[in-house]
Amino acid sequence: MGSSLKLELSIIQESLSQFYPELILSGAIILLVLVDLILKRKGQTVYVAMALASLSLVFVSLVTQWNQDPQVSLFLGMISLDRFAIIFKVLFAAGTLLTVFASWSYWNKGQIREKHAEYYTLILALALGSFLLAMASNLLMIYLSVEVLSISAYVLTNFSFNRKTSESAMKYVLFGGLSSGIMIYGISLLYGFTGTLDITSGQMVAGLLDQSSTGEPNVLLIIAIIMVLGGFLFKISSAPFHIWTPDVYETAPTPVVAFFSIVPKLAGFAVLLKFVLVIHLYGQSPLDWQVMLTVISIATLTIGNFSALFQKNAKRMLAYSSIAHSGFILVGVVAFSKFGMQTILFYGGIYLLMNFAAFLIVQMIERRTGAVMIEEYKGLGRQLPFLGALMLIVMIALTGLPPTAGFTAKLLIFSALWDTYDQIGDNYLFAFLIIGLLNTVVSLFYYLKIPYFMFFKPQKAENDVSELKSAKENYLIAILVIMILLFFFKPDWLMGYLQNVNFGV
Amino acid sequence: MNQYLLSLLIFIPLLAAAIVVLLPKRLETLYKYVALVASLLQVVLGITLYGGFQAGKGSPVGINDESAFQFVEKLDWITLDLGRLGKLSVDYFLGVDGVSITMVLLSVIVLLVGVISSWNMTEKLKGYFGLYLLLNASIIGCFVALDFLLFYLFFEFMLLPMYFLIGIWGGPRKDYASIKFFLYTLLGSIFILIVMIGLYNSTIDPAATAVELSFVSDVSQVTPEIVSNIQGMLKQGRIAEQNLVHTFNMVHMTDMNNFIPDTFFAVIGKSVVGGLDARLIGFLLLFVGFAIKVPVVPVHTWLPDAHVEAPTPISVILAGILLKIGGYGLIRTAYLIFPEGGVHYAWLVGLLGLISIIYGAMNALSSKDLKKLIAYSSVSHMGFVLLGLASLTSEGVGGAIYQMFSHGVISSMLFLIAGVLYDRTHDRMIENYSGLASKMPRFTAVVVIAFFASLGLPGFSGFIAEVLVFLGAFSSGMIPKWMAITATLGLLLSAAYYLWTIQRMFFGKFSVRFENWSASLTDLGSREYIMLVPLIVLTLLLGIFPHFILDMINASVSHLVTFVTNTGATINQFN
Repeated sequence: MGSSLKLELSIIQESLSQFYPELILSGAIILLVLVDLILKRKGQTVYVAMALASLSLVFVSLVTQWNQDPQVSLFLGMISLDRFAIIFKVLFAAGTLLTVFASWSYWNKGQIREKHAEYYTLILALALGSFLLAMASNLLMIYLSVEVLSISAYVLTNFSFNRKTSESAMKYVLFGGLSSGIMIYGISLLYGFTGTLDITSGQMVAGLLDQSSTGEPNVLLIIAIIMVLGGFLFKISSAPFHIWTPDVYETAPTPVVAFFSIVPKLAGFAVLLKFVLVIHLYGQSPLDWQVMLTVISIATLTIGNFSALFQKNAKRMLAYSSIAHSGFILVGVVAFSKFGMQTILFYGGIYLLMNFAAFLIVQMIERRTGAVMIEEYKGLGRQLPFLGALMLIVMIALTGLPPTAGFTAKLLIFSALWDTYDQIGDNYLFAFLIIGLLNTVVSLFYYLKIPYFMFFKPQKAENDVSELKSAKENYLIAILVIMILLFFFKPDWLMGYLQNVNFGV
Repeated sequence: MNQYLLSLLIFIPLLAAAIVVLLPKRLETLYKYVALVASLLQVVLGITLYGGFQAGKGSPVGINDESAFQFVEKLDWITLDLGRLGKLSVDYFLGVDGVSITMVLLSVIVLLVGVISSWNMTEKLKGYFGLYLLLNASIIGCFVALDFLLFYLFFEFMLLPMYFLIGIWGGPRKDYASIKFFLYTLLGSIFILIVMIGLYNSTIDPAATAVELSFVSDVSQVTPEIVSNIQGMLKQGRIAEQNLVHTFNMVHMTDMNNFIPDTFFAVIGKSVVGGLDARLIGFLLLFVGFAIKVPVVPVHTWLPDAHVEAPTPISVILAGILLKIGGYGLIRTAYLIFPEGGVHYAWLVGLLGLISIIYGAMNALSSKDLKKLIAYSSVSHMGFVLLGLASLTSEGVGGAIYQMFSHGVISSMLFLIAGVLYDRTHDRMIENYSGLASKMPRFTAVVVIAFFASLGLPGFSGFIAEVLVFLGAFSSGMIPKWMAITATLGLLLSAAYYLWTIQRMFFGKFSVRFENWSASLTDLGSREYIMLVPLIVLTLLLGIFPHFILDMINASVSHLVTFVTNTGATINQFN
């Protein structure tokens, strides 16, 4: 007994050496709370500085991890570290970094003077949850990470502290709580069926295979899987679990929304990818999950795009747009191939750039002129051609038109689907391909609405835009836009890294 | 310089656009000069291109032979290693053959006319000329790109400046017209994109694959034997998947030996979707994609709206060049990559062409707006392009290309004419004018010439084109004779609507809707002569000396026709 405990302890101790990014984040979280308690600073600068410093350290340790090319299981099989997870973590770190920048300028004119430390603590905690989720290989660990991530998210939603945000935060808590409850119930059923919680283990696969060996699908097992799947779909705000998204996105503080639309969503995709590969059982599964995911993806795309058509609030429109983008990323999941995974990572990276740029512009306009409805953007492009051009490029990228990396991302992800279609030859995949691409045409209509109001409509006379013109966010947005264009002309600069990703699962 | 000629043609307008953007606003009167200089330079380069182009017997023909394109430029652009999937490679690959060079020449001429006709623009000049020059670059790029992805990029990128040019500088219903234009054309390009992804998955670059297999160390050492060797191995499935170098090269796609067996668009081991041969589906998707651009009835409805609302120079570009990209795209992709589709669906293409001819002409006959009339006449005349293509004879296809050039020149003229009237009175209703001849005799002369040219009077380029199309259509074994016979009705109808319009607007006693118009109805100014006279000269020149164009395209066209019919028949035999 004693020796096995010792062994386990030594494994945990060894695992810590592969755990630097997460340790740094945890340390930063604790430090932020302590500094707040001791110094009681009113301003946010010190907390921003700490967050930025810790994230830079995280980047350094992530680069080291990448170079080591690990493929290990840590903490007694709770998490597994490979380049697949590291790439996701790099994306999360980049998203968090951008969020901190965005929040910095957002709260400079904001209302939460007293609670800066809490705010940045929660941001980092959410990042930590995403980090763990990308690596988690044990269902319990997955659940734990989802909870770390969700609870931070609930509180962050309410950070403007008014009636509307309380309402949407409450909605989010109720939906989120329900979905976690269902998920853990599904997990317990899965444990009952297979006797293990480790999704990467042979026992899990064997257990699932055993349950379906009769050829007849085991209904209870399928329900259990759907329950767990539902939890992930909730995180990526895919249909039919997307209902919370528009309300939360409309009311939460804009940098938080940008954060939500990227980091937890991509974390959801990371774990979803791992999980579907397991339940797919190398094609042995009695229920064809590929068909299931195709249906979900089509529903997500269509609901997201068609609902976005009718939105008048910029943030709400971007919320539906982010739902539609979940549908596009699901295309890569449906491909069920290594290429598909690479394209998901590529899409994720580009999506991070474009969505952040979009939210940054929306936030900047909201903060400087008070405009939140798309209609209120009237004439802004004429007054500020530079900002208008940036917004136009971002919208074109979100639509997926050249010459932006948004096009390259769509091209690659649909190529992956086509490749799978060529392998399998199931014609529903061809139909999926066409429906998916036709959705682009629908999306053009609402994405163009913003440039339409910015350029086609005359401005309001009393509009004062001098503050908007000199805002520092312009530089950050310009950098993001340049990267969006750059990765169109040189996609190999990003794909080059993704080709070296080993998919440990 | 010759080896960079095509790049120069693309990058000069881009550079000019950058200059326009960077020039401060107080110098905004200079913008049009920047655009003019760029367009003039392009015309000079176009003449150089024409002079340097080898045509006639024994000259390189292009079409399906990569070494037979002229002014070729090829650079690696994107290479992605996709592991099991092989390599993705996109090239910056430009070149012209007899088909594309005519379109490039047409483009530089019409683009220059467009700049001159924009001379009196006053609103938001920076945006206008910036977008105009971007549009210019992507048009040229579209005609000279030989890599499918590159072609697609230029094709798509054209939509954006066009959307803004119609939507900001357009008429009262510009919002509706611009978004309709964008959505329709984007829908078309999605179909093209689908086929492009599939083609990419199904074809290889034999030369690059040889390098990948270390047969040779460099692409330049690849000989025809090695290529056929590789193609033989491919056919037998002896090349491992990770060694296949996939390609977007459109010229490679025309060679059926480059298709990987058992892939979607494969020639050997074809796929069938919903009872239809996958390659025929490919042809149809491309056809629909480009038919929207041409436009073919029933997907033409964006065109009258876009034309009526667009400012004059943009209408000129739209009718003069953009519609031709549809026809050109059909030839370059649909017919050359899926030749059996061209053979199999000849009747469909011919029928749709015929419907466009008749339906467009009847709509023109009933149009009350002069610009709408011209827009519908475009639909009708572009129908001849389809009819000529469907015939798959040298005369017919040559006539189709001739018609594209001729219609480019003539429709530019017609829209300029509508613009002349609109500039003076801001009204284009036919019924509001009569007896203009007595007030504006020289304008009337120009209108009569343009109308006669458009209705196909002998001596004008339109006549040659239509004669060729009819020669092809009557002698073709691909389409039934009644199609050619019925199409002649289109000629009658266009004579009817043009003559009736002349009679209503120009003859008789002078009267206009509002008294104050008559003061502003002055005859043509010198700038208008500068735009119109060269076009008149051009259409006359091409009507009298058709060999200026025919010599250029003949070799390529007859090669194209032989290739499409032979390959189409061979592939159909596989079934």
